[in-house]
Amino acid sequence: MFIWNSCDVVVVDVRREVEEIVGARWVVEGEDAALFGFDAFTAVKGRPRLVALPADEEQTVRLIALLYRSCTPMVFRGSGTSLSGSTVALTGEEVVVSLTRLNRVYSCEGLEIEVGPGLANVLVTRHAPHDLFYAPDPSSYTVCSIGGNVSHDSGGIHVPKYGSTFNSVVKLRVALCDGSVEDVGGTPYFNGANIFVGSEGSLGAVLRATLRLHPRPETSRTVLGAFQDVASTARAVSAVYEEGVIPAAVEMMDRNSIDVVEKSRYKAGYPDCAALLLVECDGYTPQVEEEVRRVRLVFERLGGKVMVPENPAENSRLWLGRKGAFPAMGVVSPAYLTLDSIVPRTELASVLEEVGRIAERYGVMVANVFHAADGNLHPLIPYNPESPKSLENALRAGWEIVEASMKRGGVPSGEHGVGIEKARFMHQYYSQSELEVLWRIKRAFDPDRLLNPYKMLYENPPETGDRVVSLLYTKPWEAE
Amino acid sequence: MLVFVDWSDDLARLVEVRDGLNVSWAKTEVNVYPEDYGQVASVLGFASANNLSVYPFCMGTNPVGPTVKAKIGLVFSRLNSVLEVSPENLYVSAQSGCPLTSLSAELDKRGLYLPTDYTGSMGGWASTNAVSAYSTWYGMPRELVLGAKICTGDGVLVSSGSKTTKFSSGYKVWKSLIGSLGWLGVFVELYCRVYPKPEVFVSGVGDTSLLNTLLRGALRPLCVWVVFEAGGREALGAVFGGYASALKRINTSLRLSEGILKPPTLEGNIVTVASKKGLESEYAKRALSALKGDVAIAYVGSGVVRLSVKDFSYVEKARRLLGVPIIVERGDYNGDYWGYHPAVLKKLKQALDPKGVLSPGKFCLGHP
Repeated sequence: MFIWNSCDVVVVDVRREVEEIVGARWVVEGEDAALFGFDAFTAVKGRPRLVALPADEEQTVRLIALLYRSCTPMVFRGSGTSLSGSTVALTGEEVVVSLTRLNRVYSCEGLEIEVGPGLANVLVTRHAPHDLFYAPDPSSYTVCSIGGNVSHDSGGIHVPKYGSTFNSVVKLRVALCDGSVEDVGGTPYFNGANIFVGSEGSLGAVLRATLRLHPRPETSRTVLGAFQDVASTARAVSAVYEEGVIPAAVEMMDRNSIDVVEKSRYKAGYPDCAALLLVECDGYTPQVEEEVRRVRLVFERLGGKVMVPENPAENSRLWLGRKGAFPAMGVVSPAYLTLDSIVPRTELASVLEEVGRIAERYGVMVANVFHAADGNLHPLIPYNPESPKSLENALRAGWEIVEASMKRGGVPSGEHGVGIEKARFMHQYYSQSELEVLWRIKRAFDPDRLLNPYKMLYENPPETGDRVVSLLYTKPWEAE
Repeated sequence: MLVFVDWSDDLARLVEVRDGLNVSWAKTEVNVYPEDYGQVASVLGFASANNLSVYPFCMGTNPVGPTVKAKIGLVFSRLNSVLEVSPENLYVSAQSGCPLTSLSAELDKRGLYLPTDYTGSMGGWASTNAVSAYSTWYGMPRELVLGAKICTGDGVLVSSGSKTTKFSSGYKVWKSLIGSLGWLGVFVELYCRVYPKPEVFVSGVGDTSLLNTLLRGALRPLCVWVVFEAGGREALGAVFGGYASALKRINTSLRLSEGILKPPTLEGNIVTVASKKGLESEYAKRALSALKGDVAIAYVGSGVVRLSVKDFSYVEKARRLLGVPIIVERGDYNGDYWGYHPAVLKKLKQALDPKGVLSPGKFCLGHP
């Protein structure tokens, strides 16, 4: 295929040149390419023009330079687990650059490990010394890759103590659009890695990440608190901190999510309650013992029923239920949306009440299972993938939840990124002058706007002919 | 007495203007004292429109890098309030000119603390990404600043990040400003993560052979540092925080006492060396030898080593020998203070300070 473009007078046979760089075997087209056309944001399916799977950093850099020179839009992709649609090739013009083959572990020294972007999150700890571990653990940690974690600033259940991916990124090697490579970060004062974390592949490609490891805790203990009302459950989250406890994890599940889990293969034997909290305390054993004692007291004071697992099997069962809550949604619906707006902890009770009202208004069942210590909601909204109306209804309910979060001092996304899913909220969350500053950053790194187009920032909605896409890119004040 | 220059009358219509600064770390023709964020934006907008260089500063306690000569000194001393302390959500918001001593006093009343031993303003702390003994466990301002209101070099106020613990809703502009020494933009307000103050602090000193046990073992100290002296003396310090019932059970050969011990303060010419996290001691020893320094402090777990040196004669050689960024933090040096000039930094400069008015010469040679 030949292209003639406006951003550079270069005529290139993209298909042939891509093949020359990565080898014919690693170029995917047609029906097979469709497999790279969607991610975990199941509402939208894209159509990559071509998929290229470079073998190493050198091929990746040459590929990016070629695509940029030939004015070809591109999407960087790892395992394809983005929940915001950040890795969907939306217009059919994009070449998907899959970085899954860049999955080497380069070095491990001190508290740092240096890995390729295609390495699965779970494998970082497996390659670390036995006394260290990699803390960020998004729920897809067994498959999601480090490049995607960096690009979304992914979180997970252990953020309250160890921080999100940002806190674990020491250095990055990035490929810029002009074919240059830069090692950024790992320096006192200015850290060039900062701008790339959470940038959703819109400024450059992550070729290598140096990550911080933490010492494995001596002890890890779980406390479950089952409450008869959501307000007390939410109150207990702040109360735990007021006791001086810094928990490793505080997860909340409401009645709907508990019901779903108990009907699924992830059945955990949770008590009958309006909502529960799963708190994990880890660290130096005497400190953990005192933390557990205080968490118990907080739960009891707020009317909660307390369970402390007595053996590792029981502990695993309780956490398996939480970790299985997303796939367990399969028992009620073949598809669901997962949102991730975030509010200050003190707004949890209020926003959850509002979520209940929104669910009622739209006639949808919303299951809430989320990172309570971070105030990071994960409302799961089921929909029928065969029914556009059902999807639209779920999307609209979700938008109202995001708006309710923003009204309470929250932000649209805590850890899934903006992507396609929340692009419409950028115009609501930011002022026009603030957006212009974000665009200035985008243009400084990507003057021709070819890197992951239409994700996070967009000027005009993409013309795909897809009703869902046009709904997602309708600015809130332009909606019917 | 006010120095009259042709643009200062116009500037005086926007903000109070006073005499400039003439100290070792900065020279400015006039200083301005904004009282609100709008005035900060107006000053920067004016400076950008008129190609007037600006040096932002507050208390001047921790200058880093080369001396800056600028037309306008942008002084944050009047933007000095603690705005909100939230014990439930564990954040504090404060204006960038707020002294950390005032902030700590406010936090202390609520049983909270910001883990740093920095002395200066909030804006200075964030702009220098100041390492401290607490960086072992809590990290640096890069990790602790949740969000901020900033102003670009051309006077656009931007809210970036938030008071929440996570943020994945657009570019982390505020994080890019951290450690940029006011070269990319200025902080006007910061939201920081704070922690419940531990019931008890216990400090310990001991032999450096305990380092690996402290760093990777069960105890999880909040602070660990190692001091190396040119004569070969070494000393390790650590601080633990937690419940009294827990800390009294610490079993270690460190000599323990209640309270917070601090690493020594460096004086004179200071050099900062980047290290791999967890290997700061090795880097400190090598840097002390390569730079022929007097004292080196390894802030364990932070990736930062700081040294006091007689002079900077060995900086270039040490850069070649160690192969890591070595920065002249404080002192007169007639070479390149930084030794590295990332393209990413220049691209951000182009985006955030398009006229290049902020802190000229602070970061990159041959770049405003």
